[in-house]
Amino acid sequence: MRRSLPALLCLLLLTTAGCWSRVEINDLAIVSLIGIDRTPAGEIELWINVVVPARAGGSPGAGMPAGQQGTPFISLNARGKTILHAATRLQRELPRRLFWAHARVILLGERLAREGSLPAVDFLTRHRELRLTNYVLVVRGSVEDVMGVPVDLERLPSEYLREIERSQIVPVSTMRDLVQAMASAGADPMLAVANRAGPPEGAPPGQRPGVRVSGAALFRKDKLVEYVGEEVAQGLLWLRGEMRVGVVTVTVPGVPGNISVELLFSHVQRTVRLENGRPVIYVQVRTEGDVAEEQAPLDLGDTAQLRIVERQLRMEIRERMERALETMQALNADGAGLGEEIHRHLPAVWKRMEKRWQSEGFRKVKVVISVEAHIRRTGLSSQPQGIPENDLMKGRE
Amino acid sequence: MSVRGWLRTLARFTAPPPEGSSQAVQPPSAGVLPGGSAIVREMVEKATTPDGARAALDEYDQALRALAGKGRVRYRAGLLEEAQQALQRIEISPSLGTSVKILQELFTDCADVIMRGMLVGGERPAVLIFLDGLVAEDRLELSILTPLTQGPAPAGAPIDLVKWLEGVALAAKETLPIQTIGQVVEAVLVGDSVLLMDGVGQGLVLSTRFWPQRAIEEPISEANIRGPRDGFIETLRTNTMLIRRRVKSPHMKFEHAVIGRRTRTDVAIAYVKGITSPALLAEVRSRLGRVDIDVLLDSGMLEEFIEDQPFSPFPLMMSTERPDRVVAGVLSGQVAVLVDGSPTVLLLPVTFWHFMKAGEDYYNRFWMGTLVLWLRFLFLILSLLGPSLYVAITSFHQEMIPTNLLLSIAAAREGIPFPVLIEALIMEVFFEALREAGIRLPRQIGQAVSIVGALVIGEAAVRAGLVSAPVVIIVAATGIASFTIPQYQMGLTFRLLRFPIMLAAGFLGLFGIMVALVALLVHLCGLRSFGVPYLQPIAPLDFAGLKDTLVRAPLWLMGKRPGLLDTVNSQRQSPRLKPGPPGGGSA
Repeated sequence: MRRSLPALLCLLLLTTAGCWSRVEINDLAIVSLIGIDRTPAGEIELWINVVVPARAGGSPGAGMPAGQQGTPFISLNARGKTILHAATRLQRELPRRLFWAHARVILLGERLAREGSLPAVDFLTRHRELRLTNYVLVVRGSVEDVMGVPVDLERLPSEYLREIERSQIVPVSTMRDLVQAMASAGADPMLAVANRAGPPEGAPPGQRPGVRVSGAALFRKDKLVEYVGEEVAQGLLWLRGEMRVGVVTVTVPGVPGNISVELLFSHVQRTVRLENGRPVIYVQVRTEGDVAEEQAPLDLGDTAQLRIVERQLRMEIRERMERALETMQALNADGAGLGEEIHRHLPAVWKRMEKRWQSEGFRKVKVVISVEAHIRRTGLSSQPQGIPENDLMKGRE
Repeated sequence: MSVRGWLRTLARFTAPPPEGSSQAVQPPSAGVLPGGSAIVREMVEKATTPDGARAALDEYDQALRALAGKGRVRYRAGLLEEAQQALQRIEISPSLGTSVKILQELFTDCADVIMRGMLVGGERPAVLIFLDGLVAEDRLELSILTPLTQGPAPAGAPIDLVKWLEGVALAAKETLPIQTIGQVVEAVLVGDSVLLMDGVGQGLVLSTRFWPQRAIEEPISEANIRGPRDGFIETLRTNTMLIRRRVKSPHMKFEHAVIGRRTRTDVAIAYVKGITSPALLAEVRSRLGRVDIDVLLDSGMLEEFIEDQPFSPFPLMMSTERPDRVVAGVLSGQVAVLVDGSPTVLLLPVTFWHFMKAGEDYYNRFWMGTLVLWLRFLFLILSLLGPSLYVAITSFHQEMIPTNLLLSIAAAREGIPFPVLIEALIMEVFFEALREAGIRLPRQIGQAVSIVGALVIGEAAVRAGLVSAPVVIIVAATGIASFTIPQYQMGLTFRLLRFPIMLAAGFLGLFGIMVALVALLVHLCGLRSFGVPYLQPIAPLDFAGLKDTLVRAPLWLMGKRPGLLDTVNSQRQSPRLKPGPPGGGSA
């Protein structure tokens, strides 16, 4: 008895606990997408997409009235002084508890981004159900434009956006990247841009509008400065050292037609050296790829001609990087985090220039870009198909 | 013609039945001589019980009353043994009538005891006592009754008579002269026949044991594809034979013991001298020695009395029906305990890992053995934690589920009236009931019940919205997983443990599961089977043992016996047995 008493008491403790954090799945309102914007009056406007499981589930399962059609989510919005204030208002309209853990994409409205996105990030990093690895995108225009758009192929717009972000062909920023860059003296945030893509002109009726992710938004601290296009965004990816895979299309001077190279491997090394008392940033790119498409009459089986394509590839990549750098410096938005690079390599130097970095340091810093590109394979054919052998470019001899 | 029928026929010739009674409606009670010589019957009727024997019989009687809670003598431990000792004190009287009278009193109302009176060689009165049905009738008639009743008359002094019987007259496999009534009783009860002869103060035990027994069949609970298919049966002697046939060595020992005050069940302790640790053997003997029980029907009953930790849910000795497994066990230093009447043999000591092995693992290629072993470990975890993890994650940690899966589960759970815990418990209990029903029902119906239960009711419950489809999947997967555990008892243990862990998961989520697992691990670490740590060789760590625990190493690599059994001779085989191609192969 003396031995079993403590065990008995422990068992009784279980009953007093009452499973207080237990929530059944069907008592949860699963938030799939969060959008935050600012109203013209200056209030925070919170948009959420809540999943309707009966419409989103894999199969028409148990106990579910058949034939529930419609979008698998509902879009709700509310205004408030803070995000949580607005969320509390939303909660009043919902019979189920808001559950944020599956909101893997966060959208920032353009107005909020331009006026300063600081109010958005605290809640999104503090709440225990939200992850720092959530993707953050800027919506060109109003958040509403993207929130309610039904997407094809995926069940929810959030999944659609997340899968695109994960494919690494657009610049990716997570919540952590965003807040780190915002807080850092030597870096500025850069977010991917989502916007509503209407059906193309003359499209058959019934084609739905979609969501497109393209380009990048450059920030200066918490404020959006400018959108940049696809190619600059790709140059930015190189500069940031995040480029992994992608396609670069080049032309060879004097030869008609384009050649697309699929990059399968890229490595970017950024170093900083002190030259004449000033830090110089070296960005060295090493990349390998295959020729995936050739519309020019070059015989790529000929090594010399392949070298020409390689050279063009090098130049093209460098040009894109330089363009991105110029754009950034012109906007004074350090989306590549070059200041941080100096900080890491030359902390003493950085200490001296830290204060001036945002005002003028970044504009004036010298960046040397070098690219090393190799074409390893040319796919199944070494020569462009459909061109008579005699019309192919001959080698140099 | 059966012995009894034959005796009755004989009785009709020698003594006319009492008037007005019919043999058919009034079968002879054992108190009356059913047949044989009228002279013998007369002797018995005239005989009186001597005072010494009377006192001993009274003592025996008192002891039995005390065991029933009545009478003058109060119950105390060992009373029955004393009573039996009392019988041992009654010597067989040279007067045949006296001895038979005493035996009649002891076997009153035992309808299966037959006392056959006769005149040996036509002149000397004798009685053959045996149990009907427990003796080989043809052997009894041909080699004992015929020579005695039709052979020549014996001559000589009383002691010589026994020698004459043993050496000349009888053709029995074993004979043994005995002196006391107690010995007569013991011999008769195990199926031997006892011959008592007038003028001889001794009895002669004739081995006539024979009883119908089940054929040797493939064990149901431990079937295999490759390897021997014979299994133990209910007869101890057959079982020892099955072992002996595989170990042709005088070092293979079977020690005899008797357990069960009333059932007097034969128990054999099997071990190999020169391998088994003497300390272990002494421990087994002493534990068996202190088992003072009334009834011993199966080795499972014995198990409960000799365990190290009686409250543990884990089996602390292996029970197997496979002789090859027992032989492998005793040759690696384990001790086997065989119980008469039980087709299940205990192997001890064991570790947790023994239960993960099927005998077949060693007959198939070691790659397969290892793969299957890992598969079992995987499914062991699933069988223990499957429903618990589902309950914990879906009711506490929804953020852990991939979004798409969460949506599917959420869709399936729309409209389900119960919490996940209740849902899972309902299905688990239902599944256990199905399984139990499937075992108890006749084989043909059992399968039908399983199909109806699993498919029809499971499907209907989902369609009716009582339970969600994922729970049915989880419970089914768990059920399959629990069948991959090769040892039935360990499977039972994990079936049992699943429920408390499910409750812990339902109350406390993953934290609860961890608490339960830590408690389980602590318990396992403290367990010992006959002094051997239950988790050895993992804890305490023994590197040499791992090759037969985490993997099934090739047999030629396992040169040593398991270290945990502290064997006298640890070398099992030559260390250089790796085969290779002729000539150039490695030595």
